Amino acid sequence: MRTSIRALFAATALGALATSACGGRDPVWDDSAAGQVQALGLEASVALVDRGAGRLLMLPVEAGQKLAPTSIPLPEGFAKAAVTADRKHLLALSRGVVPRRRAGEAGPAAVVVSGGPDPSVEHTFDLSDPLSGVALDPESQFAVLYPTAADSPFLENPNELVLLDLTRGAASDNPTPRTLRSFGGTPEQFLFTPTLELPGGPTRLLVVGTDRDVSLLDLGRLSQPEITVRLTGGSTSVTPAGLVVSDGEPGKEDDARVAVRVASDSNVYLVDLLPVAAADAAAAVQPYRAVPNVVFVGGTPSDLAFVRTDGGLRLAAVVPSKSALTLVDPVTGMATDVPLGAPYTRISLVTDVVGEGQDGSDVALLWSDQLESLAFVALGATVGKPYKSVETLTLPAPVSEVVDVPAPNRHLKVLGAPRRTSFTVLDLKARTAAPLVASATDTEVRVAPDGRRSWFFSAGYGQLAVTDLATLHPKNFVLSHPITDVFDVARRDGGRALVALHSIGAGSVTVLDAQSPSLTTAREVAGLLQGGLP
Amino acid sequence: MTPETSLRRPAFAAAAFTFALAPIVACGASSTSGEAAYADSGGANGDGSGAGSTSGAGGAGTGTGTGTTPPEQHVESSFGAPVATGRYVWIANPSSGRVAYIDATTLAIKIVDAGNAPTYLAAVPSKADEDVAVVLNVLSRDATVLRAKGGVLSTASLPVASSGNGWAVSPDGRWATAWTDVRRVQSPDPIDGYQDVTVLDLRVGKEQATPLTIGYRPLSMGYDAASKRAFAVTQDGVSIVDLGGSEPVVVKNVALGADPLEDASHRYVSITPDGSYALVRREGQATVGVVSLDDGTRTEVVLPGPATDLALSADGTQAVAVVREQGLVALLPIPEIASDPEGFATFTVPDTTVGSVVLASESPVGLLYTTAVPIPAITAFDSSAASPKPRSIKLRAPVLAVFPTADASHAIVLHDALQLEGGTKYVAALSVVPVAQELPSKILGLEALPVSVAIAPAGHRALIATGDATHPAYRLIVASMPSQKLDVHTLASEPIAAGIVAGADRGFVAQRHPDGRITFVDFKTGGVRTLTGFELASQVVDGSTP
Repeated sequence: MRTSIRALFAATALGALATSACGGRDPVWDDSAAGQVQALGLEASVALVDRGAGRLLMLPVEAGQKLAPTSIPLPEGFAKAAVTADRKHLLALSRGVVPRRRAGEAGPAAVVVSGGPDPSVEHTFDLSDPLSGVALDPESQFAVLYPTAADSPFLENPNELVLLDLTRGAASDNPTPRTLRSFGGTPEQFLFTPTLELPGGPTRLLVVGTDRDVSLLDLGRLSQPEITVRLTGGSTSVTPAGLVVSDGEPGKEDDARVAVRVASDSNVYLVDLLPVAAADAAAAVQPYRAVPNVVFVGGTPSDLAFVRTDGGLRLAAVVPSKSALTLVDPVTGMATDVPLGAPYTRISLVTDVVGEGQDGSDVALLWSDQLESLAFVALGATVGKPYKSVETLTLPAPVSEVVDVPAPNRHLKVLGAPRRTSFTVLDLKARTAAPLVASATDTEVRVAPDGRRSWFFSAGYGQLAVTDLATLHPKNFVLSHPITDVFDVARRDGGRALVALHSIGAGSVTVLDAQSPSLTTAREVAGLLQGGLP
Repeated sequence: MTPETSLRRPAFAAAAFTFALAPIVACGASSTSGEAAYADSGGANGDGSGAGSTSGAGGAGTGTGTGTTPPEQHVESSFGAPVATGRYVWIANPSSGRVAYIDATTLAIKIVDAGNAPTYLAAVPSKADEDVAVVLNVLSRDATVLRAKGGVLSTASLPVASSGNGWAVSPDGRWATAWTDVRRVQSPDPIDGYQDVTVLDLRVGKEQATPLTIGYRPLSMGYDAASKRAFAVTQDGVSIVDLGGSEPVVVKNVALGADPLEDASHRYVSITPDGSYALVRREGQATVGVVSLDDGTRTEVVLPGPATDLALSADGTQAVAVVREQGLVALLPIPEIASDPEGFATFTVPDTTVGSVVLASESPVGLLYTTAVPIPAITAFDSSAASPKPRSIKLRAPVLAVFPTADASHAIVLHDALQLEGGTKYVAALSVVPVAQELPSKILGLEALPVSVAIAPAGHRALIATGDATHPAYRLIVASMPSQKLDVHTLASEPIAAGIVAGADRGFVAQRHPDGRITFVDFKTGGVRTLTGFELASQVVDGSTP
């Protein structure tokens, strides 16, 4: 007979003799709680997914680092939980009772929980089939649910998606199931576009990439058929590897486009979204049409971005084999190379931080996990003067991870080295790279949502450090127990707390004042998962 | 002696103009001469326009020349170019067996299956509410007639007896003849005569293919204005096909000279639009032959010296012969010249050298120039005047080719061999010449040779595409008239041919690309847009059709 950690911890916490599980008590006491607890950080609370107890244990923090645990029941058969980009909501998916033999047994469902200081269930949606795949809208409005191998029903349709509007409750059109037209592929990647100025008005699209084609689903017209761009034809196999989107110039509704990077291919596919011809308008199901274009970038691109240059909008393809950034005019297909001097693999725009050029052009940051340098490319000076536009910054280590820092320190980025033994705080404005060295490998970094500090820890160890992002002064702590994760959340009193989860016991955490961290004011809490149980 | 190149007029300008009545001109160039005089890259008929490469259209060729100056020379370079009908562009993909059909206004692409290796396209004149093209499928040895009406494409397939490489389409759009231009055949065997042609009757529901045999190695094919007869200019003479019966039939072959053993390689033939006469110029000879195609009667018009060029007016009522050595131009009235070989007017061009002539399609104004010597000038004249008063127009570089607008108010002049005093960094140049006004011409240096020119029928825009593998400065120059504004756009790949889509008021440049590439220019806004990968468009499924 197995002794559960939950039971053992409860006994320890209560000062009572641990006993083996026995009849007459709720089975929850026999579950191995620690191994099943998933933690997620929200805006003003930490959510512990207590699968054994079928609940979410929400942990808002009050003044003095006091926790105010709240249990929120989960539908039966928990499958997955995810937090929206704005951290205001948690979406939990459940499969229900499997197999479901009686009508009264719980079916698959999705639950939306608010992530504020007073967590509660906002919406519950019944699902017709168990789905544990989820992709969330970066604007936090939509979620798309899709089947995964873990769902394993008797029969599933891998091309059926369920669209949820998280901002409103269940209705006849929410959730909306949609089966994508398939030419043999199944969904593999999703891109929620921002609002695009398209013929027919402002539109948000869900771009779905399979292993052979790309589909455009109109999130405002979910009842309309999607547009599928088949990239694979004949004997040629083309597999999408990355998607980016551009709305084009403000005020124009005929220049939005999607770019598709494909695996092991020197071509990039551009899909222009153009008005439907008047002659075809009556038969058209969407007010726009997809016009695919192929552009050759001279090597397999590792990353894409739409950028503004002094010559207008360009698709920037990072081509490591050429050590170049290839800029393609999406209108003419003209490609211009900006030599980078090194095989960078990733690109992100930092214009909003460093400011655009005089001509409204972007500044791009390029990096690679193989290079001990990064490059700033001022795209305003690119056309005609490519060699003068690249500024290289040497780093202590290659970059495997780039963590954005929210305002007021958006000009900073925290760069992680491949083995995460060191980090670099990159100042985009000053173009400086300040190293931070960890004593352990696999050190994790968590940047506080208020943008003022970053936390470092190594899973399985009790060491914790915080760095003030204004001064880069590190402050080290050693907590009583090994850490599994940390979350910097808003407190109910307006302050902020750092909730560090420990790997021992049934819900053990240490709570620090995030803005003035000190072990003196920290509070350790154990046995959280014991609370609120039957 | 290196012969210079002269690239001029109709065939590619024809792309822009309506040349249903265009005279048939052919030179008897041998297969090894590498030059030619007549190009029918397709689409020269009807209300649309085809794309053409820089190709000569007048009768001229590499002859022996006289004196110390080389002959006027025209080089044809024809490609599997797109053709335009109405506001649409058709492009064949030999690899996929499909033809793309692009609305130049909306850039909507539709794809239709043709036969095996559809390669040679031609636009077919049609009713206003439909667009018709025909494509020759070289591997399946058949032709596909493509009709688009109301957004719906339909096809009909007809057998073609032998593999061809070109089309001649009748002015009324009923007939299309597949034939083989030996100048487009690499290393032809001397035994191969390419004498098989197939005449297609394109009437809906009555499509029919008729294989015919014509003379040895046809050089051009055409029709009379009434579409009642077809003519094949061959090294044996002119084969005449009667189209008025139940099916096409070759009714006779008209010899073009008294000597049956004459070397046809230095013979240049023009046929009047009504099909009455063939005019024959022979390099280095001071005569022009006028041959009746009705009865074979031959008349020799004696000129003061060897004619270096001969051009027929669009209405076929006048032929203009240029005698370079004397600086003389002869105006031969047709048909009167056949019965009165001395009854023609002449005028001389003082102070400059002229050896070539190009006539506007809708104007009596002609333009004279020379490519044999580096003369930076062209000369305009009114061919309808009793005593034309030539007016020379100063340019800034020697002339390579001249393309007048339909009304001859402007001309695009190409320059090469820029051996200018002080040197130049440019490989070539172009000038926009305001022929009708005494205003300065505007010149633009080019980093590569032009490969294609197209002029809008309205004469308000011209497209010049430049660049090849040797000089990969791929550019599209849009010339606006009368402003003489020149907009230069860089192309992503090597241009094949430029063309005009008159119904959409746009131009296009087809480019070499494995997936197909075409750049459109909106003449109203000046905006350009490139489409690449036409086949992909057929793989977009939007749910509008079940």
